[in-house]
Amino acid sequence: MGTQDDTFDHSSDRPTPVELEAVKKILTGLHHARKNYSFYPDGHSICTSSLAQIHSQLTAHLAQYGNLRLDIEKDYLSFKGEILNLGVPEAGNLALFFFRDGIRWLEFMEGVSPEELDEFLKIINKYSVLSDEPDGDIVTAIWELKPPHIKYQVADLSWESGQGTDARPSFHLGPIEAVSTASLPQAHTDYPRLPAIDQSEIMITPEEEVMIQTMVRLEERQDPTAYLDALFDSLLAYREKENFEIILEVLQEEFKDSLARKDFDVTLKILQSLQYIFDICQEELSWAVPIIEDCYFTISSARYLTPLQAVWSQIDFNQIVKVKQILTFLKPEASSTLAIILLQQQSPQLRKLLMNALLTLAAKDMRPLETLMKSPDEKLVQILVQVLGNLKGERPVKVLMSLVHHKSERVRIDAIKVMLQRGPEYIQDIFQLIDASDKHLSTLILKSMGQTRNADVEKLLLEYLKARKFKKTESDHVMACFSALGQCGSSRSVEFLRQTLIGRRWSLRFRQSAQMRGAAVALRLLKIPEAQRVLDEALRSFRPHVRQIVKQELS
Amino acid sequence: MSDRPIKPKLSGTQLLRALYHLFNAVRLHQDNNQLIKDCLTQFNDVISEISADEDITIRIWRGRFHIQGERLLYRRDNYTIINEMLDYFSRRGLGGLCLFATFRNTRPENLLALVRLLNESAKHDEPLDWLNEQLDDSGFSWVELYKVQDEKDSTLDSHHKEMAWNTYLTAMNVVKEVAEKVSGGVAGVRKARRLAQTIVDLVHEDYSLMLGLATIRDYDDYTYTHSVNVSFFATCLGRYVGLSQIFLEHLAVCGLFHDLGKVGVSKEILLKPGGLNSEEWDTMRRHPLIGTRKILRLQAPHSLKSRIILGPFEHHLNPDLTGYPKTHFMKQISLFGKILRIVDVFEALTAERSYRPRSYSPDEALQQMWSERGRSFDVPLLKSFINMMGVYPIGSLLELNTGEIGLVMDYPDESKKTLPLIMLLNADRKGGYISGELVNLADQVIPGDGSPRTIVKGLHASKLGIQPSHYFLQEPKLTGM
Repeated sequence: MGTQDDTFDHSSDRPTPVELEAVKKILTGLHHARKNYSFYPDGHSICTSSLAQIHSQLTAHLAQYGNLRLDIEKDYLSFKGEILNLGVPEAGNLALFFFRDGIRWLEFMEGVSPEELDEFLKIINKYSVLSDEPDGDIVTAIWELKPPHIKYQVADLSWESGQGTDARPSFHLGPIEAVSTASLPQAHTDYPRLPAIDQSEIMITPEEEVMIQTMVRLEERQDPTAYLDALFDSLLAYREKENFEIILEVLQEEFKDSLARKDFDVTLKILQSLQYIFDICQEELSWAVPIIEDCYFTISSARYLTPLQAVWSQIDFNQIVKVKQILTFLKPEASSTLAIILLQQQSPQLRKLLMNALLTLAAKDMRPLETLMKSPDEKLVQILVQVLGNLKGERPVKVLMSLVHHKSERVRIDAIKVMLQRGPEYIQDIFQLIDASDKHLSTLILKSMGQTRNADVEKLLLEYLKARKFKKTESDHVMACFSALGQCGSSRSVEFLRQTLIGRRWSLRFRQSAQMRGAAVALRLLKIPEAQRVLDEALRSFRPHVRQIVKQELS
Repeated sequence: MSDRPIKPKLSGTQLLRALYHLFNAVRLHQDNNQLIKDCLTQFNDVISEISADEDITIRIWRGRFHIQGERLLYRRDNYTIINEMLDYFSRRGLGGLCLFATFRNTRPENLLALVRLLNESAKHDEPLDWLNEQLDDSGFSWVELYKVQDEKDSTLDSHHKEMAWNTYLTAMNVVKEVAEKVSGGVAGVRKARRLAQTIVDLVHEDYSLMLGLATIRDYDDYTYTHSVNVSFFATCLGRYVGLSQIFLEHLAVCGLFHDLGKVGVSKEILLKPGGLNSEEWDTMRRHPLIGTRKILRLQAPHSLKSRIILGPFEHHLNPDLTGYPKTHFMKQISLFGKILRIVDVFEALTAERSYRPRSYSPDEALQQMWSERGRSFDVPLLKSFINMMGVYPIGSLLELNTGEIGLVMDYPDESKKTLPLIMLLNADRKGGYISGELVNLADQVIPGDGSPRTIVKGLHASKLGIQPSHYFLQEPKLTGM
C-alpha cells in the first residue's frame, strides 16, 4: 500500500547544508527529466539520459542518507522542514501536480530502480496537463503501478490520531442490545430449516471456472454498450423530466465520444435506441417527445459532429454502411458540418455518401443549406450547387437563380449548368437572362448553353434570333448567340442559318452583318453534312460578300 | 481465456510450486541432473514473471503464505503443495525468506547450494541458527531467512486493524457526504476513489479482517453501514474471482454508491414493519434508477462513471433479468451487478430488519441463498462467494460441542472450509462476552479429555447482543496455534 503512518519528526532531524543541496539537485533533475519526457517521445535518448542521471543522483543520495521524503504544499516542496522551491503554481511546477491530486508526501526508498522512476516520470507527464476531467489522477496511476520503492500519502485519507473525530459514527463496536424474540410465537421466530450446504455441490467445476474467467475478461474489456443499455432502460423507466434530460445529456456526450473513437456501432446503437424510445414516447409519454427531438437537434449541431470531421478520411470501406445509417438519423442542422467535410480529400464513395446525405437533409428542410450558400467560401458554395441541382421544387430554383449572379464565376457557371440540366421549364428562366444588362452574365449563359446539344435551348435560340432586332453595337452578342446555336443545335437550325447567310438580301450597310458571320460560324460548328452543304453553296454564291464571309470563317 | 495476463496471485502459487519441485529435485539428484536444470529454469521464469528487479519475499503468518506482501489464496489444485511447503518451513523453524534483488546476479550453483543447505538443515537441532551460520560462511548476502514470527507480536496486526477501522469510518462518512452533496447538486469522487484504493489494498493484505468488519450493523445509519459492508464484501469477492487492481477499485466504489438511490427514501418506508403498499413499493423499486441518476451527476471521469453505474442499476435484477427495474435493452447482467446482487442480499439477510422477525445467521443466509441459486443468483459466482466465506462465514457465531461459543475469525486452511479458526468468547459478569483463545479447529491441540472441539450449530449474534466486528479489532489471546 502506498500510504504509511506519518511518523517523520522534522523537528529533531534538520538537514545539513550538503544534504539539502543534494536534495535540491535531485529535485531539479526530476523537474528537467519530466520536461524532457513531455518534449520527446518514449525511449528518446534525451529521456533515457535524463533518467539515468536522476537515478544515479537519487541512488547515491539514498545510499548516503537513507530514504528521501518530500513534503508537498500547493506552491512548494519541502524536505525536513526546509522549503525547496518557491515556484508559482504554474503547470510546470512539480509541487502543483502532486498537491492538486491530494498527495501530501512522496518518499523514495533505497533500491528504487530505473524502471520504477521511468514509469513514475511517465505518469507525471501523462497527468501533468489539466484536462476536462474533474481531477487529474496521478494517485490512481501510482497506486496501480505499485512501485515498491516509491511511497506516498494522500490528503483525503489521513489516519493521524485525533483527526476525523467528527467522523466517529453513532454506533459503537461493543455489545449491543440483544434482540429478544421471546415474545413472538415460536412459529414466527424460526425460518424453515434448510438443508446444510453439501460441500461437493459448491465445488467449482472447470467449466464454471472458465465461465467466471470469461465474466472477468468481459468486464475488464469495458464494453460501452452495457452501460448504454442501462441508460436506455432508465429512459424508459423515468417519469420525471429532469431525470430524462440528465440521461439524454449523457447520451449526447457518448454520441460525440463514439464518433471520435470511430466506434460507429455504438453511435448507431445510440441513435437506433433513441428512435425506439421516441416511438414509445409518442404513444405513452407525450411530454418526452419534444425533449428527444431536441436531443436529435443537439447531436446534429457542429459541436457534436465535429469529431466526425476529424476521422472522416480514416473511415474504411467496412464502416461506410454504418456511417450511412448514422447520417439518416441526423437533422438538417447537420448540413453545415457535413458540407465542411465535403471539402476534405476523400474517396469517391465517401463523397457520394455525403452528397446523398446532404440531399436528404435539404429535402427535409432547406434552410440550413440556404444559409450555407451565403458562405464566403466559394469552393464550398460551388460544391453545394450540385446538391441544390438535385433538389426538387421551386425553392432550390430560386436559390440557383440567385447564384447565377454570384460573385464567383465558377459558381455562376455551375449554377447555370445545373439550371440547364433541370429541364425545359428552367432553361427558359435562364434564357431570359441573356438580354440582361450584365453582359458578362449573358456571355456566360450563352457559353454554358453551348456546352451540349440541347433541343430546347436550340429552339429558344432560334426563336430569339428570328424575332430579335439587333443593334449595330450588339455584334458580339449576336456572334455569341450564333456560336451557341452552332454548338447546341442540330439540322433543325440549318434552314434558318441558310436563309440568314444566303437567302436574305441585306442592304449594303449590312454586307458584313454580324448575322451573316454568325450564321457561317454556326454552320461550321454544327458539323453536320447539311450544314456543310450550305457552306459549300455559300462559297459558290454570286454575291462576293457572302463568299468572303464564308472564306473568312472557314480559314 | 488465453489472452488474459497471469495475475500476481497465480504467480505466487507458481513460485511455491517451483520451489517445491526444486527442493525435491535437489534432494534426489546431483546438480548436473537435467531435472534440476529444468526446475531452476522454471523457478527463474516465475521470478521474472513476478518482478524483474524487486526483492522476492515469502512469509508465513498465521499458517498462511504471503508472497510479496499479499496473502496467497489457496485453491484445490494447490493446497497439497502449500501444506507440504508449510510443513517444510515449519520443520526448519523458518517464518519465511527473502531473496534480495541481487540474487538475480548470483550463479545458479549458488542457488542450488542454498537449496541443499535448506534441505539439510532439518537434520540439525537448531536448523535456523545452523542455516544462518552456513550462509555467513558461504557469503550468501543475497538471501535472508526469517524465524517463525511470534504471532503474539501483533504490531503489524495492530496497524492493519487501525487502518481497517479508520477506513470503515471514513467510508461511511464519504458515502454520507457524497449522498448529501449529489442530492443538492454535484459531488466529486476523489475521496471515494482514494478510499476504494485503500479498501483494495486492505483486502489484498488481510481480507479476513475486512470480512469481519463487514459484520458491523448500525440501524440508525443502516444505509451507510450497509453500503460500506457491501463494498467490503464485493471487493473481497472481486479479488477472489481474479479482478485486476483498477477494476477492484471501481467495484469498491460501486459498492459504496450502490444504494445512493435509497438516500432520501423516508425512514417510514425503509423501516416499515410488515409489507409495503403498492405506492411505497413503487418508491423502493425506483431506487436503482434514482441511484443511476445520482451517479451520473458525480464529478468523475467518464471511464469511472460508466463502470460504476451498472452495478447499482442491476443489483436487484435476477440472472434472467426479472426483478427491478424493468429492462428492455439490457440483455445480460454485468459481473459487477451479479457480485453486488449476491453481497447485497447476504448483507441484508444477516441484518435485523423491521419487516421480519429476525435476521438470518450468516450460515442460514448462505443456505437460503443457495436454495435460490440460478433463480436469484449466478451459480458460479454464488459458489465462489460461499467458498470464499466458508460454510460458517467469517463473523459467524458458533455453538461448540463443549458448550462454548466461538466466533469464526478465518479459514487458515482454505482446503478445509468447514473447520475455521475461531475465537472463543467467554461470558463476563455483566452479560457481555470477552475475547478468549484462538482455536484452529482444523489443527487443534486436543484438550485433556482427548475430544476435539466440533461445531454444533450457528448462533445469532444479535440474540446474544454481540457485535462480531468488535472482536476483529481486538488483540487476540493466542494459544494452541
